[in-house]
Amino acid sequence: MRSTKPMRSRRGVKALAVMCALALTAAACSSDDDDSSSDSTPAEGSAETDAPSDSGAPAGGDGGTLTIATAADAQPNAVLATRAGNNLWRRQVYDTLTSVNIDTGQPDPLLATDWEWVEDGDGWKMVINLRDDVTFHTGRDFTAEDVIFTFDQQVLPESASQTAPVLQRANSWEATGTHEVTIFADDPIGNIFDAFALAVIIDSETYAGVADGTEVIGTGPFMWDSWEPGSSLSLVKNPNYWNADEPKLAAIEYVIIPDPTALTAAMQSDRAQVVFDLPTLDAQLLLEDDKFAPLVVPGPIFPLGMDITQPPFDQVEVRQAVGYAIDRERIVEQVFQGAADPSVLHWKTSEPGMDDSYAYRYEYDPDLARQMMEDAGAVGTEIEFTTLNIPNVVAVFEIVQNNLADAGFVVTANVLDTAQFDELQAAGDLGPIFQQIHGLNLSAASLVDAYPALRDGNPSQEADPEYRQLRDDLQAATDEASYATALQTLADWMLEEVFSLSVVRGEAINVQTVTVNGIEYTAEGVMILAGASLSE
Amino acid sequence: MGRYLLRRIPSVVLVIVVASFVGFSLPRLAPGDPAVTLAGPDATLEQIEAIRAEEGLDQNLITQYFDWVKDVFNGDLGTSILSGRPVSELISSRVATTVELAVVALIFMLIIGAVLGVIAGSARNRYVSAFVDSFNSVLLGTPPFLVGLIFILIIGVELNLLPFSGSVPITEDPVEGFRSVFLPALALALPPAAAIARLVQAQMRRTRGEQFVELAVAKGVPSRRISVRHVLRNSTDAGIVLAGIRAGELLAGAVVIEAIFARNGLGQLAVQSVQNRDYQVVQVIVVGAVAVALAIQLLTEILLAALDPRIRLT
Repeated sequence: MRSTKPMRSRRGVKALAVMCALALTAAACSSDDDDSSSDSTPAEGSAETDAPSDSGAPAGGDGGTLTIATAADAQPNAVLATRAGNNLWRRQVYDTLTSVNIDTGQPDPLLATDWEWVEDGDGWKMVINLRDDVTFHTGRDFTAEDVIFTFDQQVLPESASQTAPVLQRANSWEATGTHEVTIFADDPIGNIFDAFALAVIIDSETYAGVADGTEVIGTGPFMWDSWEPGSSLSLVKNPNYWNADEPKLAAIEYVIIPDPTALTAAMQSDRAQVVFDLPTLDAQLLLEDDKFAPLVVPGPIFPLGMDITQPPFDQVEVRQAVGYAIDRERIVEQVFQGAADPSVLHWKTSEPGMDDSYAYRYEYDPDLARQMMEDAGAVGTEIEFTTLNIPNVVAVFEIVQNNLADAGFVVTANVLDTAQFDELQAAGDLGPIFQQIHGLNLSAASLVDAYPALRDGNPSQEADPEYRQLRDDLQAATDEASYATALQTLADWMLEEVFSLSVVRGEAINVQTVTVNGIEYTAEGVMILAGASLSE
Repeated sequence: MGRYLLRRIPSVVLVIVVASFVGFSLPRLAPGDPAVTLAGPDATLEQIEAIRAEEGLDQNLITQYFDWVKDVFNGDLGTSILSGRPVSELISSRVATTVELAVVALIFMLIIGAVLGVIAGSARNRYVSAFVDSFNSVLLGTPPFLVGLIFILIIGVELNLLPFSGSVPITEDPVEGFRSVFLPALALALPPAAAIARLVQAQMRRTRGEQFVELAVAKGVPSRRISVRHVLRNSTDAGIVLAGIRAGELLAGAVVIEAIFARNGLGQLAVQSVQNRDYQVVQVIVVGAVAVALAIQLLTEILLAALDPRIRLT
């Protein structure tokens, strides 16, 4: 037996118990206090790091702070490329030369006031006149040299810009005046406005600070205030914006919340007024509450690709059979709860020349698919079906996998993590059949060289010279009629060859409170908050 | 104790060196690299290669490892490839949130574990004992994320009693800070607290059968004094060891709890960095986590020796 000393822990246990009781009481009391004022302050569930006190409500007529919850963090080092996180803030900080109108599909002037393609000897040139009343957030005047600097950066491989190939079709560009830029090319570039959409005008003097987010200077309606990577981004009003009527908000806060449950909680707790990246079902559940409204934007497409050099997909009949084997309506209902279009096209069905005969050419017909498989002698063929581990993609993949098995394939699933999949996709090495996801909202003329599924070096190994020629014809079309004809010819060829088919085109159902007004989108799916405001 | 700590230095250094090697090499063994993430999902091989060269990812691994170790000795933990920010800045901006959560959870865990254990181990009323036993069993079988979700639904959404999204530093606003950490910390603490309680309870029951307790009873020592002075004090060893182990696990549990309560702490940073192959951040977090686990282990042993005279640190 050993001796025992007076028990110190008795007092300690009591002290801890008292501490716990005090803490619980403090929490409860504080909660009671807040309950009494919950009508006039951000609600109980909200607790923001570094959030200003006026978060979420108009304060003193200054427009208030709009708080946006999103899973995707900003990537300022890819400011000239489309990224899910960048689409929410980029056009708040930066302006572009033009902005393609989501209703008309035509470019509206922004920093460019007018433009014109004119013949120039053997070639063509596009003369662009610029606004002369624009300054960067540093106070420096915006000039044609800034446009030249932006174009020079956009075509560098490091920029990872999806529309670099569009701009690369030009021979050169020059500042032909303080506020005049001229682009020289062999032929007019019909889809040049897609390149402009991603070419946010950057400040050459501070561009080095963009990559790490320490100095992000544009000419846009909001100024970059602070960024905590993976955590939050703050923008504040640009008081010297060239459009005196904008912006209406005093500030925008982006809170980065990767977990879908926590995203929902951010809305339920009134921490945020807009939420992006919610699963469709969660969004629909939130929308049952009258205080929320939907904010529907074009979502990604889910292309199903086949390597035309590998059996059995080297037979066009087998690829066509796959087209008929996919139960797209089931995918629309089960995966997207109805918020998707079962179009087989990689581009919008509203593109000139497109109609239902193109969009829905491969309707679900399992008997026909099976018969075509038997005729081609492909029943019982073992295939490895590859995709990437993103929830929606895997959900689509699982239904397609079952459809392929029903058609007669023996399917082995190969689900890769995103980084591994992207690397193989870039190398054009995804195996015999693969499920992809692409999310650009550009014209078909740009998409055919931007989407990994369609561009040169695609993982389907489709390198037929006729395919290149059809894409060139489309990109050379400068008026709507010739563009529609070229697109129809290309679509007919692609739907006959079937090296890649979109399974569905999803819609992203985001949620906002009914107090948020004036959120706009460009045709490219980029959010514009210059005219956004908060009501009581 | 000084000699004990000195004797442990070689093994601590060895573990840290091994951890640095594992932390450095493991993320790089996975397919894909930060250049792929930086280049984006639509990137071409040319774009990925250009970024890889720009970020120095095309150098051989041995050179990269020794460059990193040299930089660490010079006080530079490296720069996040994805955000371009110093790793030390990223970690320091998040460490407070995680430490806050872990410390409050640790306090909750010790208090709740000790209280439940003592009640269950001392209760003569079998109904009380059965109730506490059942309560512990439920908590033991419920993972922290489930407890967290239940708290969010009931205490947050339905009753609107406490915040359940985001965090406020306790140092900036003690009351709001504590309110914002209360639910996540409690969710994190309850399951391990039940395990500690179960161990304390079992140990107390065993100790009650020891001869020195019977002697005290025979001498007429009041039962309360026997429970506290004789039984409880001799029943805490295993509980302390378990608390030490569970304290380390609190950091791991914080990853999930931070996610569902939208607290941007180290756990979230670790998950994002692994997903994005941000090697520079991952390797520092791995070595840091090992260092924290080592420190907790040493502290546990020192605490045990302080509480139990039979244990000598040599």
